[in-house]
Order: sequence, then C-alpha cells, then structure tokens
Amino acid sequence: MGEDRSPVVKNGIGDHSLNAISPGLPAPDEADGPWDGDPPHAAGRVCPSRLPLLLAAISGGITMLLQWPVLASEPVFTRMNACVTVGMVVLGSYLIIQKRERFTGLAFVTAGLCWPVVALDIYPGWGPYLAFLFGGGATYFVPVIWGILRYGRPRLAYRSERLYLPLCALLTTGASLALSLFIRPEWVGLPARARWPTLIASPLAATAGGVLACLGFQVLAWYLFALVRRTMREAPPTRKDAIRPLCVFGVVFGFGSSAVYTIAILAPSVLPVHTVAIVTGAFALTLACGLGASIIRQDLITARVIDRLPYSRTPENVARYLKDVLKDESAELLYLDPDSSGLIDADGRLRYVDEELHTNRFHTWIRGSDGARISLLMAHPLLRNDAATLASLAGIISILTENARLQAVLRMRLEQLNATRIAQQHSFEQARQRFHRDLHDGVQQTIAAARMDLGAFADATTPQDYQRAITQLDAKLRLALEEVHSLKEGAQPPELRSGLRPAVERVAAELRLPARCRVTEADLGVLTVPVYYLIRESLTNVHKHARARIVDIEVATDGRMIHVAIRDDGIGGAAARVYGGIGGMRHRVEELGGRFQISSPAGAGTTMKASLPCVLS
Amino acid sequence: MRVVVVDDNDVWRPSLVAALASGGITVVAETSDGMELLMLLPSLGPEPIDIAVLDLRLPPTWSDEGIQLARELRRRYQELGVIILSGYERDVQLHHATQALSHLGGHGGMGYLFKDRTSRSSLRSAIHRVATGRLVVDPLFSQQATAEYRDQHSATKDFSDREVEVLDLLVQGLTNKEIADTLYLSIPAVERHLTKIFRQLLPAEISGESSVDTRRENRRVLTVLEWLRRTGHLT
Repeated sequence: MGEDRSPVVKNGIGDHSLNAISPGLPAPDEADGPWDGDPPHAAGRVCPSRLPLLLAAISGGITMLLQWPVLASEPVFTRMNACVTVGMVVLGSYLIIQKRERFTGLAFVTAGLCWPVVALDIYPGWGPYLAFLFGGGATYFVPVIWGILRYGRPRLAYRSERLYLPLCALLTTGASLALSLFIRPEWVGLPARARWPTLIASPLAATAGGVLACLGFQVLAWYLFALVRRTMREAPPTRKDAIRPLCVFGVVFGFGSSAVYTIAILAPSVLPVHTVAIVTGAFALTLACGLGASIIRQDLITARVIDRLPYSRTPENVARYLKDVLKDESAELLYLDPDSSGLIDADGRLRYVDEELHTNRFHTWIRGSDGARISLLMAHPLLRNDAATLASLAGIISILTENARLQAVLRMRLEQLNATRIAQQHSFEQARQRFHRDLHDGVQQTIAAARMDLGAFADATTPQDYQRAITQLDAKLRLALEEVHSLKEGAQPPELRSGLRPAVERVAAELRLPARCRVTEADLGVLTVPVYYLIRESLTNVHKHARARIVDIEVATDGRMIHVAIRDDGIGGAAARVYGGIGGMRHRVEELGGRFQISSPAGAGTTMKASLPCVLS
Repeated sequence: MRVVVVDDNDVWRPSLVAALASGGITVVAETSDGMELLMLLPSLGPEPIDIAVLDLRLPPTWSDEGIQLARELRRRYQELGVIILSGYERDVQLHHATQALSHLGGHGGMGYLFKDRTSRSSLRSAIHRVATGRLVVDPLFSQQATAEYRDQHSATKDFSDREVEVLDLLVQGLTNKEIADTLYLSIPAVERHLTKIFRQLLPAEISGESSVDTRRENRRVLTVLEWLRRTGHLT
C-alpha cells in the first residue's frame, strides 16, 4: 500500500509547508509524522504503519473464530468473509492513521467489523434473522455510516449528495427490515426453525415488497452512477487521475451488488444465501481495491511535487514545473514586484492585479518566510477544490518564488530600460524631424520671402518704394534670426510647451474634428512626445477616413501605465480598409513595451486603445 | 491675368502676393488653406481664373494637400494653369512633382518650383509660361534627372550632350527661341535637335511632321513627360 514511500513524501511536504501556508487553505491536522518531533522508530512506540496490520490480524482472527463450525464445510464462504473483513479494516485504519481521513476510515472499519454478521445464520435463535438483515444491507452500510458520520461536512457540497445517503439508509436497511415482516425464513433459504418476527406470511406481499426493494437498489445504483460522473467532471486536474479507479470500482460495486440482490430477492432458489454473500463480498472487495488504488495513485502524483522540482529555478522552469505538477496548462505564477507592488510574469512583463483577479481562474497568494505576499498563483478554477495539493505546494512555491522572483524582476527592469531607451530614441528622432520641419517651414521660407522682396528694388521707382522695400527686408531678416535662435532651443515640440492637453486640442481644432478631450494633467515625462504623436496620427486617420461626427480623446495614467483611447463615431471598418499607418502605430507602441488595440466594426466607429508602461524619465 | 494664391506661411504669402502684384498680375484671392479657397471661389466672379499658385504642404495634415487642391481646381477649370511652389526638400520632392505632372487632369500649363530658388523675375516668367499652357520644372529636377540618366545609361548613346542640353531647357519650359539664345544656336539648329528628340522619345504618329494626330500640339509636354519617365522621375 505504498507505506514505504507515502508517509515520507506526504508528511514531509505537509510539514514543510506548514509555516508558509496561505490563509485561504485549510491547514493539515497537527502532524505526528516522522519529521516532526521524535524519529519514527523510537523505542517503545508502535510504528504507525504497523497498526493496520495488527488490526487486520485481530479482525481476521475474530471472523474465522466466529465461523468455526462451517470452516471446513464452506471454505469459499468463510474465506471470502474473512477477506472482506480484513480488507475493509486494513483500508479503514490506513485511512485513519496515514491519511487522517478519520470518518471515511471509521466507516470502512465499521463495515469490515460488521461483515461477519452475514455468517450468523449458522447459529440457531436470532442468528439467521440478523444474517438476513445485514446480508441485504451490510454492503450499503459503508456509504450509509460514512455519509451519516460526515453529513454536512464541506466534502458533501451538493444537496443531491446529502440526499443520496438517507435514501441509501431507507432503501437498504428499511427494505430488508420491512420485507422480513412478510416472509418466512425458509422462503429465502434460511433454516425454518429460526426465530423470525413474521407479522403476516403473505407470498403476495413478499413479492410486492421484493419488487419494491429491487427497484430501490436500481435507483441507488443509477444515482451513484450520476454522482460519480459529476465528481469526475468537477474533479480538479490534479485529482482526476487519482480518483478514477475509485469511481470505476464504485460504479461496478453499485450495479453489481444491486443485480445480485435483485436476483436473490426475486428468485431465491437460483442463488443460495451464502452464494449471495460471497458475490456481494467480492464486489465490496473491489470497492476497497478501487479506493486503495486511488490512494496509491494520489501518493504517486503527490510524489511528483518533489520528484520534478527544477534544479535551476529560472522563471521558465518554475512555470513549466507548475504546469506539470498541477496538470494545468493555464497555471502560472506571477511575481510581486517588491518596489512597485505590481505583478510580473515569467517573461518580465508587467501584469495588473485587478485584471488578473477579475478572470474566472483560481488564484491564491503565496507568502514568503516572513509572511508577506511574494507571488500570485493562477490556475484552473477547479483547483480550489484540491486544498491538499495546494497546501503541499504552497511551501515549495514559496521557496521557488524566492529564487525566481529576482530574475523576473531583473527581466522586467531590463524591459523597462529597453523601453526607456527606445522612447528616448523616438524623441531624438522626432526632435530631428521637428528640427527639419521647423527649418523648412520657418527660417527657410522667411529667407525665401526676403529674397522675393529683394526683387522690389528692381521694381522700385520712388524713394518711398526703396524705403518700404528696405523696411520689409529688414523685418524678414530679423524674423529669420529669431527663428534661428528658437531652433537652438528645446527638444520638445513647441506645441507641447503649454502641456499635452492644449496641444491635443489644437490638433483636433486644426483637423476640424469636434473632440471631447479628457487628458490627464499628470506629467508623462519622456513619453509625452510619443503619446502626443500617437494621438496626432490617430486623429489624422480619423480626419482622413472615418467621417466622424465626434471624437473622444482620453489620456489617463495611474502612475504605472498610461492609457490612451481615441473613439470616433465614424464609418469604422479600419481593419478592412487601408487605414493609414496602423501597423506603424502598433509597432511604435509595442516597442515602448505597451499594448495596442484597434476595434473598428464596419459602421460602428473606430476605437483605438494603447497602454504604455510608465518609464523613468 | 487672374491668379489665386494658397499658402499657409504668413511671412511668405505677403511677399509672394507683393511680387505678383508689382508685376501687373492680379491676385484675386489669397488664402492659407484649400478649403477656404474653395469656399471663396463662387464669390470671385464669372471670369475664369488663369493661374493657381499653391504651396505643396497645406493644412490640415501638411502632406500633399497642394496637389489634391490642384486636382480639384483642374476639375472645375480645365484650362487652369497650376504652379506648385514648395519649400525645398530633396528626398520627397521628386515624388510629389511626378504626381503633380502626371495625374492632374485637365490640360492647362503646369509648373513645379521651389520657393528658395525663385526670384521675382523667374516667378513672373514662369507664370507667363504656364499661362500659355507650357510646363515649367525647376532646373534642379532636369539637372538631377539628367545626371542620374547619364550615370545609369553611360553605355547607350541615345542623345548627344547637346541634345541633352536642349532637353533640359525644354523641360524648363523654354521656347525654341529662348533655347537658341541660351545655347547660342540658330533656331533651325534647335528645331533639328528637337525633331530628333521627338523621334527618339515619342511614337511615330505623334512625332512625324506629317502627323495629323491632335496630340501633336502637345508634343513638347509629352516629350518632357516621356523624358522624366525615362529618367525614372515619373512613374
């Protein structure tokens, strides 16, 4: 039963993660595992893993002693009963001791200890009657007792699950109890002289009751099938493989035992009492085996948590490890930037807490050794049902985060530096272009105009003409000098000197676009220029193509991101048509580490959105 | 002569208007952008406009609104002469010039000049040449085009050096007499060169002396276009 491996792995991880577990997860019970306190084989103590064997030996012995009179004459019957008892008790005590599944374990132990009652028909008096009652229902006592003990616990989350248990109790024990009032023991193949609480010995009532009881068993079997299917569907990815054997054998058990009882009740002559007990016992054993297989599989799956631990803890390796261990391709770990308290993914890109938490995925904060949040684990929504795996992973992720976070932060810084560099490059390039434009539109034209005025001397005839020509020429040359001086100043475009908002409003006015501007007053630093040119290009596009009645211009910043949005109510369809330089705009935004979106359904206006991470000026 | 002027530079425009006015040219409208001019047009009276002097770059986007405006004006006045007067930018001008020369529509004269290479006298003479339906391109273009053509076709001897000189002057919109005066040739000599040039550059039905094709009237314009096309400045 994997006793050599599982306690070490399971308890080891469990204890390890205790100090770092996140508050949303239930902490495992106080551990008495081998790493906590005394070494496992301390003198004078029974090793926990030997207790199930001891219990099995005792219960097996009792069962064999109980069946002593027929031990030789009915070998299959007696051995099967002993096997079922031993199997159930071993499994139940293992669950209690190693898995801390106290209630489930107790249910199996109880069912195992009750099982030998089916052999009581070899004794006179009330023996056959008890054997009849238990033989009909003992297999179902397992879920009944289990269910009643655990009733209302979070594991039985659905009303249908809670309904299944009383229904089980009613249909199994209730049916055999009621049926016993209308039959004689010899009708079901029991000794005729046995004590029996018959009220009315009516074959008709007995047949009717039998049919009802059989229907009840069918209902239980199909109900169980439906529950199992739902459990499989809703199982977290980490558990799916592990619970499969239990589910399969559970369904086999449900249909198998209900079939046996149906035959036994409707045609008692076909199946003798002991044969019924043997077959149902076999089905009960398969259920126990299914559970055992599930436990082993779960242990093996849990063992991967350690087994696949990456040696080099880069953000990529950690991401791959989590996807692997959680069996979930959408799983990812986002590192908390200690400085900005933003989130960073494995590629060093910034993410936003609000956006991430709004998705429907499961998330849990991972805490460092000092208890502060250091990362955010995002995974499949069903993973929230697997508290055990999460608890065992929390500590490991905490350690992995401490290692990988530095690299992720470094990457993010590098990306930011790169973005800053490109932003500066842009602003240099734009300054150069602006210089050329100013030169061309300003001083060059002024001098050309002066040259044109020079011709006035040739046309002049009176001294007044000469005087006027000289005055004009002088004014132009002075203006040219001023323009040369202003060329030497300022890297910022002159229109931005009074701020982004007036500049944007001026562009809109020049393009004759009715605009609603909501532009932040915050200083956008070196990004002001690229943001301004982005808006100007976008508005030029609107002017040229959109035929809009109104344009909404929005620039906002939260200190970490700058959000730009330009919406118009024009003809849309920008993606379909050639829409001036959209590719270039996207390229420039992405170069700055930002994101660029355009949505332009035909006839419904165009919305351009860009978000740029703020960079250090 | 009735002229409209569109230029957004408030320093240059008054100088330009003054230069035209002092040469006896009537400026019937001066505006700083094309929309304004188009709105003014109905109020300018029934007589046709002879020449539009337009800046290449105009509001609102300062790209090639001048050419767009010229196209619109040509649609309204088929015979209108257009002069695009632009600031000098070496890289992009050829593109705009070829656009202007090849796709304007209508059949008036056409000029493409640079503000800082134009004086009062050269501007006036260009205006008069364009008004008679001729093509005037800044000599810089033809010089540049010729230089490039020679670099690329050094092996082929389609034209003699003298013929290239004649072509250059033809591109600048000079008449036969002006070409003859500039190169110190006799007029018949210039005509001989031109005939050879036409034959080289134009299809036989247009270039031949006996041709009755109506396009024969436009031989000079077609030759300039073909020359610019061959030198890669017209696509």
